[in-house]
Amino acid sequence: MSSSPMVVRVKQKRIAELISSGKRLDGRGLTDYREVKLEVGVIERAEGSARVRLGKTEVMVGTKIEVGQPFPDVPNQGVLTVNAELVPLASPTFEPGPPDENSIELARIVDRGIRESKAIELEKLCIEPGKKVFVVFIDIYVLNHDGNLIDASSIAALAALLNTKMFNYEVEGGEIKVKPGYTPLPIKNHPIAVTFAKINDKLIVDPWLEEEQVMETRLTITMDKDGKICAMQKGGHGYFTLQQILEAVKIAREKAEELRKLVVRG
Amino acid sequence: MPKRKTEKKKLNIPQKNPEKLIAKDDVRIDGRKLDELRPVKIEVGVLGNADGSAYIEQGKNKILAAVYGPKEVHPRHLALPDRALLRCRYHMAPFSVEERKSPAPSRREVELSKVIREALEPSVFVEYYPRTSIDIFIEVLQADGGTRCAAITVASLALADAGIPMRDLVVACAAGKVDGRLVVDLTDFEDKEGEADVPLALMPNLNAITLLQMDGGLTVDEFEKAVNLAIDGCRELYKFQKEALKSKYVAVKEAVEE
Amino acid sequence: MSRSERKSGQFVVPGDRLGVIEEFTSGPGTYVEHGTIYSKTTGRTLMDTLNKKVSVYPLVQAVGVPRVGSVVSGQVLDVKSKVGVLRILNVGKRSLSGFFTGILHISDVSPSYVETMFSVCKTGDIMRAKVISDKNRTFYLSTADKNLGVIYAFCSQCGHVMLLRRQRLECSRCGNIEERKVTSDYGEGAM
Repeated sequence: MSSSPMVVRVKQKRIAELISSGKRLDGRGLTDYREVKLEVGVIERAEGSARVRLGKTEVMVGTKIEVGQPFPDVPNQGVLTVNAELVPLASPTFEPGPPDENSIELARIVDRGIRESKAIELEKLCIEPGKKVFVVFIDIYVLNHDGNLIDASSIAALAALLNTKMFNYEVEGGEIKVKPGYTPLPIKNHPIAVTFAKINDKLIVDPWLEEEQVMETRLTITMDKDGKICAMQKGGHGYFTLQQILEAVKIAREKAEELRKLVVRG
Repeated sequence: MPKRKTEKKKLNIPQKNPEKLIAKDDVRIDGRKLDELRPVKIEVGVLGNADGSAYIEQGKNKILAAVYGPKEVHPRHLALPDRALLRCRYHMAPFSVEERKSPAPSRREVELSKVIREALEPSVFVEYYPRTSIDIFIEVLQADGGTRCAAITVASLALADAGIPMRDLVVACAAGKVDGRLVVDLTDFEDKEGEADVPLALMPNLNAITLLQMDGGLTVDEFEKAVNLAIDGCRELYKFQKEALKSKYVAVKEAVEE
Repeated sequence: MSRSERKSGQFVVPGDRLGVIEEFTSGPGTYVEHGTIYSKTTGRTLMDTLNKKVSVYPLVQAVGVPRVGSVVSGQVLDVKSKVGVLRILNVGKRSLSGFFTGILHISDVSPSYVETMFSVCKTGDIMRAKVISDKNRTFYLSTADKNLGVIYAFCSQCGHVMLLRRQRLECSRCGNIEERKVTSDYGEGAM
């Protein structure tokens, strides 16, 4: 492992200086993503699944569909649940145990992108208003942490949703009967998160682990397929200026478009 | 989940049951022979951050294992004065099974973590690393019966990949009784519908059995046969284990020499 | 397997039989149980026919645990007047996924007399040292060599990295001047 806190402290100055001159330690430009590798349908047991490699960062997402109760305020809508596990095999800094604030934040950022862009047509997941609806579980599983888990998870979550198949059913006297065949989950929007790190007052896209360890602050912008912003999250101990945020939005729009092409084919 | 799982009657199925698990010509429900393993694919060194890692696909089982350490033990009072503390966490992904599993560790996962650790511990020279811990993390990404065995097989490779000195590799395989016949390497369906299941782990060069569990009903005679069947399965799997290490390290070395 | 089949350069994994003790002595990378020699690592066999010794040359990167004689590096956790505590993060060139704790006593800092530990290193500094003892399961360190000592120091006033100028350490930001036991390659990034 090259990213121990010690190495990073020593490299901090070099990383910052390079970024000031428009370069990065791994040779990328400031707004370049690492190579994205996507596989879908990797877990046959799940209704939908995807494995995303963003450089050395590796995330697997599986979706599950179950029958449950709707929330009382939206009785005719299906339920979306996003959960993230930072399993300890992914990084020496991940501890076994219940989800910590980092994994909950990760899940909620991905959740917000999907929910606010209305990516899943939740109205179509209602079986019996107020009583029975489908619950879509999105489980994010981080397998190797090398920075920017948010974007990797957002790509994997969208790819897994697009890969999700629902079994056909009919309702007979309040009972759900499964019919043969599957239909795809109704998806009408494609949110993609783009994460920026601010180092030495410059914005870079897709920070890897060493950059995350020296970054002052972080901004995630989730864009829907029409180029509208559907979710944002500022993180880290630093701050942004309004100008930086507006610049980030512009870049995010382009980058989201690029990434979306990898996920949504045809 | 609505009734997606085929509803079968529990155990002791009368012979007339149309859902026979073993056809007349000794062919199992997935087309295997009685003593045939599921297809196996093993890869060593698959994760970037871990000190050692390995991945196995055995039938529909997909399992990742990672090893961190030896490293200083935290919390410190757990450190052992004369040997390394081996810790193991067996965990299943929520999407690994038909019905979503809560990510919080279940009683089953806690027990399996313990028996897997105890199956691996005899193979590790823990006495070389006093006051340190060696952590083994096993993540079941997809489960289809026999995950504890596949987990042991893959975790042992992750330990070897971490460069931890070992007496032998540990390889595990289950045998059981299905439809009154003894079979090897049961799928989830065969395990649930069958009459008995005997998971077993072996250090193949030392002929040492390091895990043995059993549930169901077997006569003493059947048990002996089942154990031998499992051992044969282990020896078969051991070839894949060795091959996986070879393809990682021999390929790497040759690439360096070029 | 017939014993005579073993040749040098064969690929072996832990548990592979290499021979019997009547025939060979057990070298590095091997162990003996019930009179049989086995490999305890993944590597290639090395049959020393002259000395009748069998060893295994490891192909796996050796485990990173400090031993007596290892050169380690890490971050200074705590400094008292007579002793410094180092969080060891690298053993040799290998960086650890975890860490170990090492202790540097003032008498092992340098061949010459040192008044106080505070002139040797400060909390947060990055140091290279050699393990001289692991008695009582504690790693005792020494920096009594020109290649050992602080490789990166951070200003105790403002936290910025210190630069070596005219044999003195000067803060890159506030100009504060401090004293350390530095290595000959201070600040050159050699971990």
